[in-house]
Amino acid sequence: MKSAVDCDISIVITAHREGLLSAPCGKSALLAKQAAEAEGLRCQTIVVLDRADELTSSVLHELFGEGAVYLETDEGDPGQSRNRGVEQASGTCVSFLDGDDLWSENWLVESYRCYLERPDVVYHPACLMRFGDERLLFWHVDSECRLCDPEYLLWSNYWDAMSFAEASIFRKYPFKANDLALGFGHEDWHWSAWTLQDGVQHKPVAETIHFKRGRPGSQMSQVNSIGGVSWPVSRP
Amino acid sequence: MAPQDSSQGGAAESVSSEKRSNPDDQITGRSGSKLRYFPRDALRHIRKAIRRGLVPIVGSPGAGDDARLFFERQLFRGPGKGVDFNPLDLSSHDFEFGAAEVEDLASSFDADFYLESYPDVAASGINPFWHFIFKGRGEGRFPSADCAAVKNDKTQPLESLNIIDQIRPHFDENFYRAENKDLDKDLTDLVWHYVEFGVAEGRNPTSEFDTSFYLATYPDVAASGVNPFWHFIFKGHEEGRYPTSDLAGMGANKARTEKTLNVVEQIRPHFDEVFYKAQNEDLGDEFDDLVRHYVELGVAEGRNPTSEFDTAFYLETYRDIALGDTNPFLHYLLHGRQEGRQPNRTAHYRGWPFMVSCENEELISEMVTGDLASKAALEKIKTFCQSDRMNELVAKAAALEPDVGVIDKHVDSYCAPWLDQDFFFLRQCIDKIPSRPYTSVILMPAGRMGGADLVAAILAKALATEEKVIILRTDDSHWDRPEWYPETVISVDISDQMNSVTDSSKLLYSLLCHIGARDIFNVNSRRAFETYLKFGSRLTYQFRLYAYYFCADRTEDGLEVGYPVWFFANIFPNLTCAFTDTKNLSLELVERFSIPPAQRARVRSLYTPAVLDVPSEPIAARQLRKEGDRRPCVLWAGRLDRQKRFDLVVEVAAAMPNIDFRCWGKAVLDAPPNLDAMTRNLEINGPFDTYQELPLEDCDGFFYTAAWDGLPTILIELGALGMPVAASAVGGVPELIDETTGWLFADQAGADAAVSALRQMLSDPDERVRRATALQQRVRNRHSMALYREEILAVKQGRSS
Repeated sequence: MKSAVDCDISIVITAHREGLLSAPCGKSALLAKQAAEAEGLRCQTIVVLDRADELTSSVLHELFGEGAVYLETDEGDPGQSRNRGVEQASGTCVSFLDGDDLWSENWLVESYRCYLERPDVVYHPACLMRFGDERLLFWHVDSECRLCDPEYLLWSNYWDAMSFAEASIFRKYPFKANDLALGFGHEDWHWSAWTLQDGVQHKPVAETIHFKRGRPGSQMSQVNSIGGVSWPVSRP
Repeated sequence: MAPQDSSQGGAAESVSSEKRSNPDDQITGRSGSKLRYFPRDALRHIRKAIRRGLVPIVGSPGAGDDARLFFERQLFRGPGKGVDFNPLDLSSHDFEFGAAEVEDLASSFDADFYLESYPDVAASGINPFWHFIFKGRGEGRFPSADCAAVKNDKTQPLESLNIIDQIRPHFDENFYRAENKDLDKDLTDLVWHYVEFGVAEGRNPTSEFDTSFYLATYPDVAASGVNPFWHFIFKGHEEGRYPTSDLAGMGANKARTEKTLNVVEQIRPHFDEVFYKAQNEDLGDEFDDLVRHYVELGVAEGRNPTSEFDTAFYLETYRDIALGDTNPFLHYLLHGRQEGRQPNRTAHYRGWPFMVSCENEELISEMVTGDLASKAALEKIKTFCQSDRMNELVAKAAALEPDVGVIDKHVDSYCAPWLDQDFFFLRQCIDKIPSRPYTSVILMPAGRMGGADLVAAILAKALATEEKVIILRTDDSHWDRPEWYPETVISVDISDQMNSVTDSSKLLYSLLCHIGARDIFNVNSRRAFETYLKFGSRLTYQFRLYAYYFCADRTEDGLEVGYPVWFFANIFPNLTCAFTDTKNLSLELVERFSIPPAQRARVRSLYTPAVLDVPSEPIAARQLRKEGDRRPCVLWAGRLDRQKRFDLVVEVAAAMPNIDFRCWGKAVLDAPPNLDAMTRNLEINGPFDTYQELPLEDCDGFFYTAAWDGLPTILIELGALGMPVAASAVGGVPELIDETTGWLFADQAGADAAVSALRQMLSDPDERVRRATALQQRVRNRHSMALYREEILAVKQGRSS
């Protein structure tokens, strides 16, 4: 069931067992939300607690109080958690934030500005700054320029899941569940390949950053540890 | 047409001397998209060459414009060669070299010699000079006849392979392993690692040789680019040079003084005296030689030799340098720059924000030429990457989570796909694949002349009647018998990429996903087996997997080894069907692994069709008509390897002096046999290319020996012709040769059994014709292309045969 409040942006935070690390995540979402609201945008916060532990749930409740919709799910899968969040979203647009990552405070404002110019596009931060277990900068490329070689999606992913797009895009292209036993993971990789193959373009939002925490035991670490690859977009 | 080797074990090498054509030329267009990523490859090799201390070269005297154009674009300059370069100019990362060097090297390279000596290079279409510089010299190839003539001169280490072999006896692997715990445990050839990387990384080959000391102390050695340990063993020792400062004993102080002086002189051309004086007013006019001051005192005092090199930063950032006694600025000049180390805190932001920027800038520029969107996107990244705005956003996030930190020299910058060298190997493969879609992929190691290669060709022919088939050659580029394959079948050599990429299984998996063919057949490609193993369930999710198995090989201890041992049980669950070429092998596998009855249909024996037409009259009949006055004679052909029991032939020939044994073949897998015991009635010829080369009508039968085997194609082909055959009763041979179609003998029974079988065969001409006719009939019934095609079709359609 959708929230009764219609708005411009639904912020979907997916949390699992991040514990205290969900606090900086939630605070960065609040800062970005405040910046968006200062620009006149109406925002909704949805916290998806997917098999979340008590500490994580408490921290996020403490942060958002009555200012968020809370969903308790039993998916055990990052993509499915996002799908559940999208189902509850009343915003014209949706943006995702994983429970231990951070946005730069201008993320929502700048993404929405881009969205108004090209509503049929999936937006990504210009830069992903990975911190925690390693430190690096990863720059997202524009799928509509030659820097992007679509065949690279056979090999690896171009774009992270913490994206911004019109809610209808996320509804049309729900994330596919990982199957680590079979060796298929990286739901965002599959999502990138799927949407791009269907003609949905991906673009970076200039001068925005997502701060992506790397830590042992995360979903990405688990997928990497088994040499996981994307689901094929199509089968012969 | 004929398979050279009668085994289908797959390890047999081609012994053909015929020149090969490269079908990729016709497929992709030699100067088309195939070379799209040539500059990138070249840059990678250049980088590797620098790390190896080689001096890159410009220009090409060989054929083809691609390499020439490329090199002309690359201004290339090696360090320490007396050229005036500024190592601190990170914004360019260009390299130059003198025209004289170009002329010298070009004049010493003989393109005709190279192409003639290395037909694989000629067939590949690669510029020969480029090949020599970046591949050939590393593979031990020679640029000219003169160089080849001095290859055994140990005073001239022509290429790294020679160096590796020459220093290996002096190398202390235990020491190297113990001192370098950061090395991958799976790294087996430590000498190779030392030569390729260890020298540049300042590692030592023994406790008694200090690589950094030697290079720093003897700048002539450093400048020459020769491996320092090799130099000490073969030259330096005799010249009285010291391997370490400690072991120099009485000469240590002298060595240190020499070392200091040498460091000073190496640094001097790059030292900015004006800057040093201005920055260090406290020194006044007390020191005449500011470079020496920097070396002896300035480093410890944290002074800087130029505005671009931060001594304290370098020592603080690179602890391995701080812990050693190498001058940090000299280290940077000789090694650090090539290793991507930063000379100061801000250098990182001076160039492109991408990892291995000097390699990628060229490629990126090439790729985005004329694409304004790309240029604008890159400009945005560059602008933001260096901006206060970015630092501000990071600082705000760090206020919430201090672990976010700041963006400093420790933070590398990546942009897909440039971050991933391995992707470009996939890209190169994709560029080679013409006109999808395909319905079947055949994976084979290479197109050689062995029995397994012939089977792959027959499989291609069977599939190609109704489908679009592509062959991928995974291990090497050989394509020795293009006439074996249907013209409609595309064959693509991906071996270079498979050999270069870090994870060949992932490369092959990704390529198969790209091709998207429903059916994938592996005919003896180890890399395909490895990919089946690693990605089996994921491949099966999308495709139908098939694998061909031929008889296992044997160790000298008699143990079975090979693909039926290594890659059957572990990949069978993901196979739609496992093919064998004999019922004997199918039965062995079923029994060995107790395959349940319901699953046994997934192990199918496919009798290999005869390629030669079956004539109406057996050759045995023509032999009788032509017999004349010649002595009784039998033919033998095969590899002179342990498996084929040529020793038994020698023994049998000695026991049958009135029979001539005419043999063809050569040793391929094992050392050549000792032929001292050969009697005069035994004649050994080289390998043969076609059956027409054999005196099939001027003999009385064929003698086949083996200690183990499947069903060799030579028996099938000779059976088709109606040749009388006496054969070892091993493996699948009795499925074709029995007491109605030939003469069998037990291999283990020694020469007597073989002699007995041959005597029976030779003693009764009418029986020879009778059994040869029966053999012909069996081949006609069992080994026909129509039957094979029907079997394959039945498997693909899920029907029983």
